[in-house]
Amino acid sequence: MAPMKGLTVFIADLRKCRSHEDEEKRVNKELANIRTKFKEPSLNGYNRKKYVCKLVYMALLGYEVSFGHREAVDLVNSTKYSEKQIGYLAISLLMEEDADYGRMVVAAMRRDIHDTNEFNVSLALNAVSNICTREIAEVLTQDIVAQLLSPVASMFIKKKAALCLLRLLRRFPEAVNAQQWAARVIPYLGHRDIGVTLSVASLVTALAQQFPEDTRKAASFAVRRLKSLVIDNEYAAEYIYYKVPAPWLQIKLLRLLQYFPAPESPELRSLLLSILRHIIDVSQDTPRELQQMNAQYSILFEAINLGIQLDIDQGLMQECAVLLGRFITSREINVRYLGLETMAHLAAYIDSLDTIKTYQGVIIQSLRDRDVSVRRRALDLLYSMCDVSSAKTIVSELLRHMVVADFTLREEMALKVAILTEKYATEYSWYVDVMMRLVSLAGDHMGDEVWHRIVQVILGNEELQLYACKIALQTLKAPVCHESALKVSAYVLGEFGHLIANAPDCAPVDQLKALQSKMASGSQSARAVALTTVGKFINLFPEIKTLCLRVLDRYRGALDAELQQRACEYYALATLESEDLMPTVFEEMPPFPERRSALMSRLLKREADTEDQRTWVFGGREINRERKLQKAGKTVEDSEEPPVAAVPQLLEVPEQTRFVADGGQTPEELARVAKSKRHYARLLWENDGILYDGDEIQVGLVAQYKPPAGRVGVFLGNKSTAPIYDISIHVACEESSEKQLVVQQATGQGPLPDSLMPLGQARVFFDVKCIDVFATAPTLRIAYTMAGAPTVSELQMPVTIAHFIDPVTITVADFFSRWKQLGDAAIGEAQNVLKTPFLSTDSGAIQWLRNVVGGAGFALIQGADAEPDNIVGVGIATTENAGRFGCLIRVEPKPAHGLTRVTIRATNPTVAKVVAANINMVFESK
Amino acid sequence: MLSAVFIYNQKGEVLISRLYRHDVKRSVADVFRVHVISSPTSVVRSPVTTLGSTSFYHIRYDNLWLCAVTKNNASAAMVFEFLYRLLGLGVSYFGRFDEESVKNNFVLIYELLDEVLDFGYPQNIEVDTLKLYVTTESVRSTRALQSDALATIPQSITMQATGTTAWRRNDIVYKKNEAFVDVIESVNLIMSAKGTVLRADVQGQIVMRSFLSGMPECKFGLNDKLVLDRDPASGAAASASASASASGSTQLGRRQGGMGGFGDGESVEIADCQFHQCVRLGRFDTDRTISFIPPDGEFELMRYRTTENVNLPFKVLPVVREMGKTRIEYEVLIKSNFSAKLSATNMAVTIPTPPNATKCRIKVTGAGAGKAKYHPEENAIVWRISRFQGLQELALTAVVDLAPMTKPTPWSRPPIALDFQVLMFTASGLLVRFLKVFEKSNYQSVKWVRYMTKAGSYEIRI
Repeated sequence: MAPMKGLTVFIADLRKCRSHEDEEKRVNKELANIRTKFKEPSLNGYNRKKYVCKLVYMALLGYEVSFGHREAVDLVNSTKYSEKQIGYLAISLLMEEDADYGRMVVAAMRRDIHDTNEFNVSLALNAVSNICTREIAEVLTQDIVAQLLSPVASMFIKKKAALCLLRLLRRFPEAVNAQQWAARVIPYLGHRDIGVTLSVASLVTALAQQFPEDTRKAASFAVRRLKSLVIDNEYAAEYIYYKVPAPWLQIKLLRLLQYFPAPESPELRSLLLSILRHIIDVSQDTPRELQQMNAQYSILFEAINLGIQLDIDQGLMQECAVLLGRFITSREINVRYLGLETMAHLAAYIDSLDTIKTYQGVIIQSLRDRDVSVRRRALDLLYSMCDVSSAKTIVSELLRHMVVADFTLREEMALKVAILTEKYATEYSWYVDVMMRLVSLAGDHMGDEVWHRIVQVILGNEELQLYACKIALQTLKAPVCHESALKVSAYVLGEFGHLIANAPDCAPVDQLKALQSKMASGSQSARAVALTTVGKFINLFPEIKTLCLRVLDRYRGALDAELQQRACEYYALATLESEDLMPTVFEEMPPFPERRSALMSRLLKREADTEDQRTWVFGGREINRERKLQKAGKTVEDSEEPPVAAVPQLLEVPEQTRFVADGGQTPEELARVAKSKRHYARLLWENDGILYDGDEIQVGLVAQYKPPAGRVGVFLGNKSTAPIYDISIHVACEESSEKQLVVQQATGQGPLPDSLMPLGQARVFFDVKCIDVFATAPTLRIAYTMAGAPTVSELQMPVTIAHFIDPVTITVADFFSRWKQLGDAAIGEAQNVLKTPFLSTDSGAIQWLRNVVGGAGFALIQGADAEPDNIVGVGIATTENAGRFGCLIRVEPKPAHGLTRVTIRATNPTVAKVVAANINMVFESK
Repeated sequence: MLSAVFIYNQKGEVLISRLYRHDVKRSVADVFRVHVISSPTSVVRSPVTTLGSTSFYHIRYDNLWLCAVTKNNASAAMVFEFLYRLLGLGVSYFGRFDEESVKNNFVLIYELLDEVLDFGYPQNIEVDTLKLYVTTESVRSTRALQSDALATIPQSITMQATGTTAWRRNDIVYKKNEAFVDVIESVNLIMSAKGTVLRADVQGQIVMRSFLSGMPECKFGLNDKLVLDRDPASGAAASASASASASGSTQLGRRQGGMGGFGDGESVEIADCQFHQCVRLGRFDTDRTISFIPPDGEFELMRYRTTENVNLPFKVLPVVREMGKTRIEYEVLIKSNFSAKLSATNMAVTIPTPPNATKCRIKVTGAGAGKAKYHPEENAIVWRISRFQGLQELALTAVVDLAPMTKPTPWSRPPIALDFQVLMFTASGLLVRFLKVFEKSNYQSVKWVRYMTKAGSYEIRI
């Protein structure tokens, strides 16, 4: 760049300034000068360049530059390289995301990207990467892709274009529309120029992380490219780095392959295997030069990682394990580190841990390595390779090491020990022993999660409680007791102290004394837990109430507000006259709902996010397998562990209980559905009865019909032991039958009570009016709040067109003539053959059938049928607007076959259908 | 107590380095330089910097940094009082106290530092006393010293340093006994754009130069509201006698005739009085009379502050119109609000312009309206008026072109600032009513009073 004298002088002036104020004055002066210069119409390119440079310099010094952007854009549009260069420089430094001249910049960039001069193209691509606004990403991506794919563009431009796309993709993955061009970019992995391939490989790696589906084809290109590099040795001589051909490309391709599942075609698979084997074979001999060693090992480790990820050849894996075993004993720290890390990866995938276990001693030794990062990796590996058989050894080793470990490592170590112990515990005593020891050893270095978890586990497992109590008391009696241990012990004794109260030396007094002896030295929070325990003791052991009260009394004057409040409240509770409150408040805690362990989430949270996503995580094979399955697009059945509740339960939406609808899954729910179905069916032929009988509420119905009108009373009873609030009862008609049936709350009755005490009852009457024939029954919605949880129950209401049928008595002859008439006209007939096995067993079944038909509103006609058991009935359904519809029924029971034929003929098809369905349901739920 | 005293120049080079205790090393000077003087981050510096267990107390004067170092929990007020006294010492010894004078007087400064601090404890720091034995004149021959000084001076020094009037020798003789009183006030103002006074106060200073023989006892009277209101009769009598004696020409002389701006008999409410140590505070507390035996030469007799009834010397009527995004028009009218006989000098009006101003067309109207010029380095138009008569009006109109901004940000509209000096005018209305000198020999003395009002921070919002 030609020197610009004005700029040099200006910079020299600024450097000469003694104080900040002087400098500011000089800058202000220069800014004013530039402002006037920019106003002049005849500003030549050189001067414009010079002044923009000055502005850039001032901006870099931290002064606010609020003008000159347009001049910078002018420079970009210049034809001279030096002016264009300064223009792009100024824009990439000064431009803000939402600048209004952004459009001009984008237009200029687009023009330059398509320029024939490749320097201009490079400048534009550089500027795109540096500025990288959303607008640029949206507008220019296609042009950049075109450059990358262009047959005429030079290698140099292609490289730049690929890297530029990578930057855009990382910044605005949703704006670049990558799925469109991803497939076209992939073939460039096979480009003969290694530089282009390297840049494209970076781009494709980023693509593969976001669109694994669209980039699947990349795997085969990568494998073939690797083959040409590794096996066929096709590369230019200048790409050899200390005897290793293009190591960076090899590593990039190997890493890229890790984002895909193992290739399906056997040819590709065997090719890949042979590449891996070749890489492993080549690295058997230790190179002498450091650089060569670094390059070779990097490739090797990446290859092993790929092998592990693909998981296709167990033999290869075992070989890898042996190789890694050699590395972890290496003298080089870096090699040890990488070896341990890769082995952890291996342990997270391999099926048989036996090979790795042979190195257990070495790995444990590595916990004492000189280098802290190696120690960390060793810990990760131990955590990964742990299983039921080795858990005890590993955990005890970790505990032993805890005392001498770095402080930075201890928290993670404690977490991991806690998780492993919980995961692989086979004996309760072992779990409790280890955890108590852990708490005592590493109490200072771990979060509250660990001791919370211990308490949760003990509360959830009854078998654990007795032993835990004993250990807790022992811990308290020990001369030294860590604060977290004190908290756990206090909590456990408060809950289950009574379990050991009869054992020698474990009397309530001893427990209290042990607690008291440690309480004084505990922190505020530990003392708070201990105070609650004392409160619980009053409830558990009334015989030591006075002693406990004395303790509470002492803390009533505590300086700490929390302690004081607890002490005062517990004291007041204990000295209350009525004795009922105490047991309720200090009731045993219920087991914690089983959730995903807080420890696990904490551990996973520790994994920091980096630019490239990891293909695996430390820890059990289960997690990794799950991830793998998820990647493959299959859903993971999560039967054992419910997912972590995203919202606390109190905030959950009200539970919807739709009993009549099917869809229940658990047997309990199925039973409930069947039960409520039976209630509903009964109300189809009886006017009074129970509609719903749940744990909390009972709903009864009383109906009276005077077709086409009727009145239905709903009775709501509280069956629970707590009052319910905010009761509302509504009836909603289906949309299809809104105009046919009108349901209104009857006038002249008091409002619903605000609350319903246990065993209380509330009632509402509804007036129903049948306007026209309707098909579906209305829904009864009962909403209420119980113990703070709002509940809504939706019940189908037994109000059908069949309820508006009145009995009509006609003669036998009339009946048959009408029967025939309706049958011929074929207006509405419904016939069902129903299974009625009860006919043969129950002697009163026929009478029951008569009752059903009579109850459903039909007048029975005696002796109409030849068969004495057959029942025939007549009724008329009345609607307000559509008139009256005659309805005939014939029931023919066949006790011998356990079947019954029901035939209904009506002047309206819907009436026939509904009546048939009702009868059907009644029979089914008998 | 102080462990060391350093004097740096503006660049941070150590000019004077005097250690008093062994708990700090000489290299501690570099620590202060690195962390305070040449630290790029701290533009606004705290006068006290504690680094580790060492505290640095510094003041800046001209192009010098004066820094005191201590490792103890020394009283900060004491340390700063010492530093300012040291500064005063330098000014009175060398006239100007700057890098140049420090470089020219290394020996003398070390000599002074030896005298004023002993093991880090401040000793006698009275200029008049020090001048007795730390002299700027060339050292006289030992014989000459033996003959007179050796015999008498040490005794007199001891006498004076331990006596009740440490600030004055008793053997001063002047042929002509004179006393000059300067009342210097600086007026601070914040006025809203609509002309409402938001804050106005006056910081006053009474400086006296006495050239009086012997041990004169002086009494000083102001038109202090408390004194005049307490006893109106005596106050009136006193003022009458003062005016009478003034006309008699021996009591009070005025270098310029006529006092503008305040009427007779007006009293002023004076707050926050601070006196020179020679003033007898007990008497001031009981009957508010200011009586003292003055030191020889120049000294600050008192400081005060008034907030009520401030006479504003100038009224400014600014009109600033933003005409779209490309132009701003200014019309600034300034009226002087004091007697036509008086005049303000060295007046400068700073009218801020937006940071994107390009060209300014300025016109000033009125007789002797001075010159106005755009100063881009300060983002302001500076209007200089060498002489502004009382009860006069001057106006400035300006049109400022603005450059387009890429990201338009509204202009913060900083206030217009005024700088001026008005002689024989006090913004507070303070008046010296009398100055009486009593001496055993009962000589006649001539007294002169001069008043001056300067602008402190005199700002008008626009």
